[in-house]
Amino acid sequence: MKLLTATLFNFRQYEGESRIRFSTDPSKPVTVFHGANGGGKTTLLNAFTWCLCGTFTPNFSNPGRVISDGATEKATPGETISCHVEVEFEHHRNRYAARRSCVTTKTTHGSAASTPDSVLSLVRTNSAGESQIIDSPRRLLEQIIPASLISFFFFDGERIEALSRPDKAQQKEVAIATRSMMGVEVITRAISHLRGGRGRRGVKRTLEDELEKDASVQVKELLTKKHELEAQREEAESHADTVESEARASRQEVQSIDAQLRELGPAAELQKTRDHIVQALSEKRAHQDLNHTELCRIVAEKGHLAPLGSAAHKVVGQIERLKLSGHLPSGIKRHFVDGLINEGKCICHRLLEEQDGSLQALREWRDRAGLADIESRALGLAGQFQDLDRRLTEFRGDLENSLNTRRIIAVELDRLEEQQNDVSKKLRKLPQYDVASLEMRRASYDAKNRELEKQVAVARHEAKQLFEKISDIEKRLKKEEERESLAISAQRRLDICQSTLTALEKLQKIVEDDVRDQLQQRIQDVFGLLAFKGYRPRLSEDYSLGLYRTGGDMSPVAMSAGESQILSLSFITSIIDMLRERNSDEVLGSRSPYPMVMDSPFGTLDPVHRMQVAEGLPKLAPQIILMVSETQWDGDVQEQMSPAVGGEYVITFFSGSKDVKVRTIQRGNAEYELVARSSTEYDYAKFTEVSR
Amino acid sequence: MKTQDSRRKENISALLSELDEDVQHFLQKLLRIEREHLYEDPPPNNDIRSECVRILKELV
Repeated sequence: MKLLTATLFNFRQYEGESRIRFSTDPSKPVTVFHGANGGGKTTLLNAFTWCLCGTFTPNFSNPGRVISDGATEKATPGETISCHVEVEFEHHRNRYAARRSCVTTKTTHGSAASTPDSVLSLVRTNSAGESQIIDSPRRLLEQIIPASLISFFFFDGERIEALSRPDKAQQKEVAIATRSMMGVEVITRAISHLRGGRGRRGVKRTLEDELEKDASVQVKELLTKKHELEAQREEAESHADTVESEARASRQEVQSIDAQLRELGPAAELQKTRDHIVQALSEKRAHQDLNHTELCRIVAEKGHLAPLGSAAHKVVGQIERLKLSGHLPSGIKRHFVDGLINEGKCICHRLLEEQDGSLQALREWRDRAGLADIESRALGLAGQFQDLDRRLTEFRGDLENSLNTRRIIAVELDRLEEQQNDVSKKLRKLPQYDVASLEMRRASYDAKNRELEKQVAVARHEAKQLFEKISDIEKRLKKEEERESLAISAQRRLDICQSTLTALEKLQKIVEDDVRDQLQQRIQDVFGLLAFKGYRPRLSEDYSLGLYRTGGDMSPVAMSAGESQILSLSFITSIIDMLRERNSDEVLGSRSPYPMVMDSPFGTLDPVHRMQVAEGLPKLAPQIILMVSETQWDGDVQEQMSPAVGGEYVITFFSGSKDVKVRTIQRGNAEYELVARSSTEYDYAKFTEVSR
Repeated sequence: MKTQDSRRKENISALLSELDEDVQHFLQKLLRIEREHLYEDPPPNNDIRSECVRILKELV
C-alpha cells in the first residue's frame, strides 16, 4: 500500500476541499506536516483512519462530530451538509480510491446532527486503466489493511506505548491480521476451500457427493457416519480453541500480576522466589512429560513380555537339565540307525540278522534315539527363551527405573507446589493492601487457568478420538471403494484432495512459525538499534509482546513509558519492514510495502532515543508521513531526517479567538503561517505546500 | 534473516518434494488460484470450488 493523495472535504476543521500529495520517491520517503499543537495534525491522522476503517484514534476529541463547524455555520437550517475524505493509494499494481462520506442536515438549533452514518466506496483501477466499483469495499480494504492493524500503521506517537499492551481480544485480532498480511491468508483460504465449513460446501465434500451417487449402500452409510463425525470434531476443536483462548487470557493476567508484584517493594523478593519456583516447576513438569513418554515407550515395546513371568526362566532351566542328564542332544541319531537297518550291516561290516537279535537291538536303539529336528528346535528354543528371559529382566529394570523417577518427580513437584503455596500465603499476609489483593486475584486466575486447561485437554482428546474414528472410516471407505471399479477415479481424486489438505496444514504451520520467528528476530534487531538498555523483546505464540532481562534471569520487565514506546515502534517498523520485502515466493506470492503515518512521532522520548529513532526511521519504512510540532522538529531531528524528506506541508490553524497569538514558521527561504486569525468566529485549518 | 528465509524455503521444498506428483500439481494450482482471487470481493467461492474439481478431473 503506497499512499498517493488525500482529499479532505468539510472534515472537522478542514472546511471546504483540501488536497494533499505524499512523496512516493523511494530515496525521499518522508512527507512532513508542520502544525501547532491543537492545529489539525491529529485530525489529519484521523482522516486516514476514518476513511479506511471508520474508526478514530483513542482520545480523539468529539469523534461524533466529523462535519466542519464552518460548513455547518454557513448552511441554513434544514440544508444538507456533506463531508468526505478520499484516500488514493496503490496496491499490487492497482490504484484505489477509498472515499468515506456522510451527509447530515442542519437542525433548527443551528447545529449539524451528530454522528451521521458514513458511507464507504472503493474504486479500483488496474494497470490498463480500467476502473471498477467494488461491491463490498470494507471486505476488500480489510484484506489490504486489516482494521485491527490500522492503529499500527496510523498512530499517535504520544500514545504509542498502548500498542505493545493491547487487550486480549485485540491481541488475537492482531495475530490473525499479521499472519494474514504476511501471506498465510492464501494457505488458510486454500484449506477453507478444500475443507468447506460454516455452511459452505468444500471441494472434498463435492467429490464425496459425486462418489456417493454411484456408491453401494455400505459406502453411503460409511460416508454419512463420516460426515457426522467430522461435524462433531469441528465442534470439539472450536470449543477447545475458545477455551484455550480464555486460558491464555488467564495466564496473561497471572503474568501481569507477577510483573506488578515484582515492582512492589515488600513483595518483590517473594515474587522473585516464586519466579524461581515457577521456573523449577515448569522444568519438572517437562521432565514429568518426558518420563511419561519414556514409560509409555517401555510398556509399548516390552510390555508384552510381562505375562511370561517365570515361565521363560523355567523352560531354560528344564532344557539345561536335559542337556546335563545327557538327554539332549541324544548320543545317536535316528536317521543314522535307520541307515544301518536298511543296509543290514553294522559299521563294523558285521551282517545284521533277525536270528541273532542284532537287528532287534538296533530297532530298540532307534526308538530311543532323538528326532534331529525336535532336538535342534529344543536347543533353539532354549536360546530364544534365554533371550526372552534377558529382555524380561531388562524390561523389569527399565520399568522400575522409570517408575522410581516418576515417584521422585512427584515428590519434587509436591515440594515445589508447597513452596509456591507458602509464598502465596506470605504475600497474602503482607500488610500492604495492594499486594494481598493482587495475590488473591492471581490465585483466582491461576485456579481458573488450571480448570480451563483441563477442559482444553478433554476437548482436544475428544477431537483426537473423533479424528481416529474418521481415519478408520476413511480406511474402510477406501477398501469398499477399491472393490467398486467405477469409483476408483473418484476415490483417487478424493485422495489427492485429502493429501493436499494435509500438506496445506503442514505448510500453514511452517509459514506461521516462520512469520512469528522472523518478526521476533526483527523486533529484537530494531529494539537493539533504538534502545540502550540490554533488554530483549519476545513475541509469544499469541503475539503478545514482552520485554525480558537478558542473561540467566530472563524474567519479564515492567516497562517504563519510554520502553513501551520503543517496543511498540520496534513492532510496527518490524511489520512494515517485513512487508516491504518483495521477495517473490512461489508459494505465498509477493508481499507489499506499507506506509507509516505518525502523529507526534517521537512522543515523550528522551533526546537520545529521539535521535536514534530519527536516524533509524527512514531506513525502516518505505513511506513515512509525519505530523510534527515545532519542538518535535527541532535542530537535531530536522538535520537527521531532512535528506529523506520528499514532501512538506504547513497546516495553518485559523483561530476564531480574538486573543490568538499569530505564529509563523520558517521553511526554506519562506515564512508560513502556523497560527493565524480567523475572519469568522469559528476555527478552521488549511494546508500549504512548502516550496522545495 | 537470509538464513531464516532459506530455512523456510528448504522446509517448504522438503514438504513439496515428499508429495505425490498429482498432489504437488494440484496444490500449486490451488495456491495460484487463491493468489489470483485474494483481493476479489466477495471471494468467488463457488468458482474456486468448481475450478478445483475440474483440475482434479483433468488429473484423474
